[in-house]
Amino acid sequence: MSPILSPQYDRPQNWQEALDLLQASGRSVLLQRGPHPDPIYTRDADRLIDLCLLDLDYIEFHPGSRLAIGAQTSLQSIAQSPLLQQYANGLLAEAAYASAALGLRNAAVLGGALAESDGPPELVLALLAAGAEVILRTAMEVGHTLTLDNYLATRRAGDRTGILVEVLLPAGETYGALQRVARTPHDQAIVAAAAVADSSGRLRLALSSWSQERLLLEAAPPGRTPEALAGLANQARQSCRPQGDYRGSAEYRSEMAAVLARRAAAAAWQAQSGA
Amino acid sequence: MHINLTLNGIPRQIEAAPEESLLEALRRAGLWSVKHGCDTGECGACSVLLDGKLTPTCVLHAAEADGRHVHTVEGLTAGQAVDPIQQAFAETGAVQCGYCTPAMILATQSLLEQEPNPTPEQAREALSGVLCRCTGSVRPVQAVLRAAALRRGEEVEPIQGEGIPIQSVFGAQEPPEPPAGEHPGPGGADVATRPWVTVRPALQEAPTTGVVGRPEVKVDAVKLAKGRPVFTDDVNPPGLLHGALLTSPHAHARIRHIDASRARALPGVHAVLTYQDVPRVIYASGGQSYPNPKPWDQVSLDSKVRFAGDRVAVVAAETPEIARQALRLIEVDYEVLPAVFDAEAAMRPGAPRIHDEPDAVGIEDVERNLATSIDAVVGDVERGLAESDYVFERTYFVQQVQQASIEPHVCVTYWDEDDRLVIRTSTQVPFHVRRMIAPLIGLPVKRIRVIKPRIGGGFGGKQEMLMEDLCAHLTLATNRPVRLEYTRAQEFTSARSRHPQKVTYRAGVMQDGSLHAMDMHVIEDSGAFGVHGLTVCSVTGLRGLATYRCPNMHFHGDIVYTNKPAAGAFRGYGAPQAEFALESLMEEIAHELQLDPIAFRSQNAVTIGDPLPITNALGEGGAIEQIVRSCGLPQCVEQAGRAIDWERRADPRWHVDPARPHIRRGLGVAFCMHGTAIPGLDMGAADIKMNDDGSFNLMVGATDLGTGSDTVLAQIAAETLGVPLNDMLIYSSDTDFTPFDTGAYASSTTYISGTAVKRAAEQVGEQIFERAALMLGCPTDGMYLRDRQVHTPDGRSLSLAEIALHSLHVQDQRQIQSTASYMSVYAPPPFGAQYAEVEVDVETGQVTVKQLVMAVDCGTAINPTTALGQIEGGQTQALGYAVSEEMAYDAQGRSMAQRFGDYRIFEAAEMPAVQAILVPTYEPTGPFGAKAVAEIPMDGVAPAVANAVWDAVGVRIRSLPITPEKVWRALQEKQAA
Repeated sequence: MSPILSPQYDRPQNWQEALDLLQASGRSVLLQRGPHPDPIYTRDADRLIDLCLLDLDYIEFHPGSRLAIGAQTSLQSIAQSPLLQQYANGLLAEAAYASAALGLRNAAVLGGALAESDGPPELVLALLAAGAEVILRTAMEVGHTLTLDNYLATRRAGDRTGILVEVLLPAGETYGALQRVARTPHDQAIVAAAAVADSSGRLRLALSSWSQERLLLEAAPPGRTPEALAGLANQARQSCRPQGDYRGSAEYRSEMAAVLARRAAAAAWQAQSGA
Repeated sequence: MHINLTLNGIPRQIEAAPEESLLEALRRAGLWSVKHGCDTGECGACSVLLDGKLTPTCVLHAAEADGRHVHTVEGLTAGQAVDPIQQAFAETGAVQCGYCTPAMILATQSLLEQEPNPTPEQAREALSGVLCRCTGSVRPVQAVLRAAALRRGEEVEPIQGEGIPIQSVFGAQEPPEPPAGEHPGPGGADVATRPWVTVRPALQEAPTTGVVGRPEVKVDAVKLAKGRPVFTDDVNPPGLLHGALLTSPHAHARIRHIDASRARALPGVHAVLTYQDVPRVIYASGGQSYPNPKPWDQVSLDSKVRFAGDRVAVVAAETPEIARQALRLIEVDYEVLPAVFDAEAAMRPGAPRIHDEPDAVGIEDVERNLATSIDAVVGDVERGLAESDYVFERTYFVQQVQQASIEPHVCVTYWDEDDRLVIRTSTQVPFHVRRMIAPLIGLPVKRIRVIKPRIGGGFGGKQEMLMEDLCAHLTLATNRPVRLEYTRAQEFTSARSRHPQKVTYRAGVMQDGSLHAMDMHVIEDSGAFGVHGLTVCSVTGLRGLATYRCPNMHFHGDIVYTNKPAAGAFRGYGAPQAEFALESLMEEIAHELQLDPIAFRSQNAVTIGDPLPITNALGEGGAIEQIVRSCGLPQCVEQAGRAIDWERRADPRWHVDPARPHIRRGLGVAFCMHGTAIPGLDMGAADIKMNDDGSFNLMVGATDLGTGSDTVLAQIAAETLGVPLNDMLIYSSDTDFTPFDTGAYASSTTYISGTAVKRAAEQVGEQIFERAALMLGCPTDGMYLRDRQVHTPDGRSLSLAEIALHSLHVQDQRQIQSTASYMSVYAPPPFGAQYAEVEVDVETGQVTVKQLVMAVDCGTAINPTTALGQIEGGQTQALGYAVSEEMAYDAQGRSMAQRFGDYRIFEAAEMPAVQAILVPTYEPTGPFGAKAVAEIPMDGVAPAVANAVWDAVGVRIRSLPITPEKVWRALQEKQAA
């Protein structure tokens, strides 16, 4: 019987080194924690890759007035960022805050939040509603751009090629709202909804229950009438396919998807119309 | 690998394997203030300041700290210095068990460096990364604000608490006025240092007690705030091996074959034990008095598993990683058996037989999975129901919940230099553990020493011999020290919990509003073992049928096996289950009869002089009828009602919020009555020894599990002997050095152990008087102790140091020392009134509790700070019971909540306003008038919240927890009706 083999720990100095490590044989794990991490001792890895030297901790404007959030930016930095507290009525900051308590917000980073399959949904929903894009670094391409929903879909499909560099938010005035239902005020959401309206009133709405598939809806400005809001709620109810558990049955979650879709959309439009 | 970091300002290099967490590496480097709590960063007990930011270390690899700055509480102050943050935490009572305190102090430090003058909201937010199961975060928030003021150099208010009228605890007699001047002292003694005794012109009579009734700082607060190594796991004996437990993935299965050869062959593994390797000795794991209540249905390791999480094998290895690897190498061939997860289904014909082993003792009906049952009768309930003008029948359901102490179960065992087995364990019952473990490991009691260090929370979960036998078996097998600790997931799958129950009441009420008959039927799900099942159910009956006068009562309880993790003791011990049903029922009756809910309860509530006839029929220590001798219930109802502004309830406008049309507001109330100790059974003992300087060693078997009982007991001794608290050096819970005590449960310590302490102190006082009489040549009549002196009626006095030196060194030498024991046939009930204010979202069903107020009559609060802390923290735990905490299982009986977060306990930033009020009464049978306070705060929150939901939206939720979906469904049904 062979003794236990420790994984290798690496801090790549540059992107090439990081990508080489990622492509090397064996099981490689990027040390990007999400807000709902599993115990370290359950981690099955031959190689631990720490990206801390790659300068991915930032929130800043890029050319074209697009806000960029580096993949290694902590959720607490997102929650506290003055730039993000201005963006979409502070939707992203609020979503990051809702993701975990203070300590885990300091430990968790954006890349980890997007990588978690069973994590809190708020931040992902907020980014989806905002129409975020992600920039990946691959062996073939320095800045491969994907929509966030495509990125999440490829991850679900098991594609782990490339390393997340940053998330880009669309430029322009936006108005957001986050709605959630939970057992306690800071509990993980049973169902959550994020909505973002642009200056024309066009609205993107993202819905999810914990660790379930996300639902993305879009609505045009005429949707702000009560009837249209009801229609949007109905669309959310009928489109979502939640799984039930002890915190809420599938039926309840579907009903809440409708309620929260309506509330989030109404709040986002209200913010937009009052701006 | 080498990790270079700046640790508390000093560059250091530590060693760590790449797979190791920073938590493990720091603790191995001697940073004991960094605590293990959860493995997932959610409890925050392991937090440090990483580059100035509060960060949990259990989710970080040690290597990630390379090149970074790490600050722990050890770096806050040097030596004996106390930082203002630590001072504030100690003074405000923010330190209960102290396990999470270092992390909370770091959170405070981080906040104050950014914001020197924080708001309460900022304080709550800063503390939100550290779960505190004891305090409910109420006092820690106060501590943050006080620390901020201290750091700003401001004067801070003294902590309130002025003692209690001395007549109420010592009687009306006052010491006589002494004549002024100088009087001869103990003349003739060569070593007498003061031949003349100075008498003050007049003694300044203290109008109040000097120690009892005052908010003394807990005796262990400073060391806990400094993160000193005081907990079970804060040791690293040479040669320590690390244990790990393999548990069953199946809810019900027989082990056809188990092969541990690959695990045993793994380098670094020293022992692998399965059922084939340890003796089969039947026992019951509950830490209860001899003989343990039946059934006895457990063995250390069995060839059958009865729940997902049940013990299968245990390993000892050189490192935790090797131990975990070894677990993966144990090959188990299971024959999976049909399982049953519902208590009623388990009793039906054809249900799987969970206990088919031939050697179990005392199972009532194996075929029906009936562990045991209880039946108790007062009067004639059927006739009473028939005679009643109104009869109500309601059924309520309460869920299984976990104690969730932040310190997991942990134990270290080793042979001492005399080949005696030392068991250092986080337990509430060290003496029971010693007695109960002896037959399991084949050692006589005299070769076992159990030490209980500080405990990081227990709440009943550690009233259990849960893992000590396995750890001891590993030391016996390896002759090495072994450490065994549950993971957080194992706390949820393999530890104990609160018994879920189905409670059905039939109640008969007369036209005048008086209760005439109460029939209570309980089906209790005990899980895979019957541990605590009988006694918990018995308390359910006691609490469900004692608060209100009623001439005809019947209680029946069936304690049933299922293939779920075994339940056990949990703070409240059957009472929260009963109180949810009872106080919901009382509200429902009041509503249906259009009675004021408080007036209806008050009309029927027991008061001073009332017997509690159900105690004649139920009780672990035998049927001993109890009579109420002290009762502050009406005052509790009035004071807490005023605090929450109960009158708002009558204003329809208050119930709605025009700005939030989907929100409704409501207020609810519950009356509470608990017990104090188990009459006729619980016993505590204390020993007090005088030292040369007039200080005392107080040795008690009582077990302080963070509640402050060491402090309270020391206060009782100090008050009795007329010395300040810091002259009383308490040592507790070591089976070699302290006298026996049944342990920390049943709200017994202040009352039972406290009376033992008071008696021992009184006996020591008599010895002091005798010595003073010898020294002064006068009779002992009229002597009294105060201000570290013994005083005579004629005005002379001697210091206790003089007394001690004389007794130990000068004449008729003897050790002034005494031991006393106490057992009570009385179990005086504390009373309380619990109020809750809620907001209900009528579209989602989400209930947000905005405010909790509880007033408690606990007799004399020996230490008002710790008593209030118990009430605040208890309400917070009870709030989780009401709305969020639940042990849920999938269809195969596997736990669906194996981590904090999934199992939701309240964090600081989401707490409602919580208020506690003490209503002083004087219990004539208690020490200085005290009775219990620790458990009653668990009782009233759930029914008060349910009643507040009713008040808000008119739907009745009869099952816990009150989740959004339950409220939403009830609203849907109401709308459809």
